[in-house]
Amino acid sequence: MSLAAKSITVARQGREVLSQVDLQIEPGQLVALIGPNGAGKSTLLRVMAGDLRPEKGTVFLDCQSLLLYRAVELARRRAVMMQSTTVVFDFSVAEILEMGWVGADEGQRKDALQAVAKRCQLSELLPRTFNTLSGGEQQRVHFARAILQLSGHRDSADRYLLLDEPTASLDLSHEQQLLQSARELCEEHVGVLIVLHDLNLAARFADHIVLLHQGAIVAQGEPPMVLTSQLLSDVYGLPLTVEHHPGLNRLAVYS
Amino acid sequence: MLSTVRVGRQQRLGLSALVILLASCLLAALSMGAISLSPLAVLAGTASELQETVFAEIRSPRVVLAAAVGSVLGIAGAALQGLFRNPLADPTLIGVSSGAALGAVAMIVLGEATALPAALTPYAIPLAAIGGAVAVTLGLFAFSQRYGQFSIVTILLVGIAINALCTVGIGIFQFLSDDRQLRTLVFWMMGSFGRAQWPLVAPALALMTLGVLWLGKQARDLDLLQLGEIQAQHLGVEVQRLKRYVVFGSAIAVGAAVALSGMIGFVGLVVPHLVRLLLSSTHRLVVPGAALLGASLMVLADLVARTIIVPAELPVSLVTSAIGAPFFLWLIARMRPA
Repeated sequence: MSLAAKSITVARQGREVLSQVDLQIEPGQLVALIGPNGAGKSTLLRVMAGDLRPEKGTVFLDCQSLLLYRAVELARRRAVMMQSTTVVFDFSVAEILEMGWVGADEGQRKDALQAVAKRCQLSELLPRTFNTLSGGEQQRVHFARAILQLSGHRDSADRYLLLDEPTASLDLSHEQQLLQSARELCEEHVGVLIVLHDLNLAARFADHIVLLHQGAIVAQGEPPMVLTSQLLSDVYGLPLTVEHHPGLNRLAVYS
Repeated sequence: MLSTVRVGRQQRLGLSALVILLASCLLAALSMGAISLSPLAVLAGTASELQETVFAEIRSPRVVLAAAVGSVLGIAGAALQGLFRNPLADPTLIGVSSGAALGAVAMIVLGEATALPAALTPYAIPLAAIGGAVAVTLGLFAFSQRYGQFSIVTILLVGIAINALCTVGIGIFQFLSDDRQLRTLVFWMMGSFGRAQWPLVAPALALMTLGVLWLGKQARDLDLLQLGEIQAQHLGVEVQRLKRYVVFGSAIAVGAAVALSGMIGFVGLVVPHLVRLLLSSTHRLVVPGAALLGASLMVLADLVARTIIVPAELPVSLVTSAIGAPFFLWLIARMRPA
């Protein structure tokens, strides 16, 4: 059982944005998608989410094509956090958060919402108007909404969480917190795919790293296999050094 | 619908206040007029025969129609604003109202030439209006299905074009009409509930109720749509289907409303705004709130229209626009910059 993309090709205006990409996410695994701007990371995530129909190739959820699922069925199986979302009307944070509840059991809704708010340290923001929050706070609310979406169907089939640059406007501490939460979800058997720019975060939190460059996968595997000075310097086009930091006991990337 | 609404105490109070407001407006509108009467006395059987007739045959259908049209315009406005994610959307925007108007105007001018059976004559104009509304909606669909997706921008742009075309059509019929038809036509366009009679109101009520319930069912999906089409889809909304439901639901309800009352502006635009200010932006509240407030304001506007220059009557759309337009300017002024 997995969420798997098989030989995905996406073209835009005759140019291939993704060519022959294979990617698999297992439940309980945290996969980081890295690569320079324009490598096709967000496009790949949108294909995995089922938003974008590839020219060639198929995305399989439990061996069945994503296209065969109804929107409601997919909503119970996978949550997606996109880069930006504008909300025109004034909703409270609690109302935005509640939109993530796709669970059938209305009795659990309130408790689930409070639990997620607490877990993401949003309890105090709940009565605020969403549009008055800062960009980072809004991002945290959307992350919490995605978690709430997955918490509605805890005991059903495998669940997946797809995050497109979730830490883009977060400060250091919330950045860590978000990835920590993502790790905790992995413990609960959720498969997580994150588009990340910060290679150190990828090194620290990911089980599996996928390096995309010009629409193709250059390397993928455990962090030490992908994060090498040679590979990264080639792909990013500037000298990068990867070392094992003895004090922290993990890989560190320097420019 | 209300039983499944998840609301806080403050919102529940707000909704109750709107219910009380509607009840008071109904009571006032039923009592006041060229002949004043007490609805309680009529029910108790102590009113004069004239008062009873006025109450049963003239005033009740008129007030009921005003309330129904008000709630339809309110709900359709709320649903379309939600669908377009645009606080300026309104049933007139997608051309449904002008399509209905064109149908009615065509019938006013050409109706006498077509030999309609006598039994159908009172229904001719309303049916033509509904026909116009449905034709516009079908055209909207055919066009957007054929040329790409049913995208919001397409609907808006096509709506603008349809509005322009309908205006041309109405102009042509105005040009063709004789003096008597022109007078009927102009008064019809200005909107009035004076034509309300039970045999006409009852079927329109059925259509409007259907449309309103239908739109009310989409409330949660409309909420999710506020996150964007793609995100709504992530949360399980069949977005294309939702668009069809909302556009068709409002076309049918608004078509039936315009058919009996003519073009009445600003209610669909202003009422949802007011409800958002009073209650919340959640469609679970905006939809019932817009129904209640729309009905109240329309009943009130009609009361003003028929009592301010007794024994004559002001077209009700003049009242709604005279109040609605300045109010709308005030709303725009108080919106904080994005």
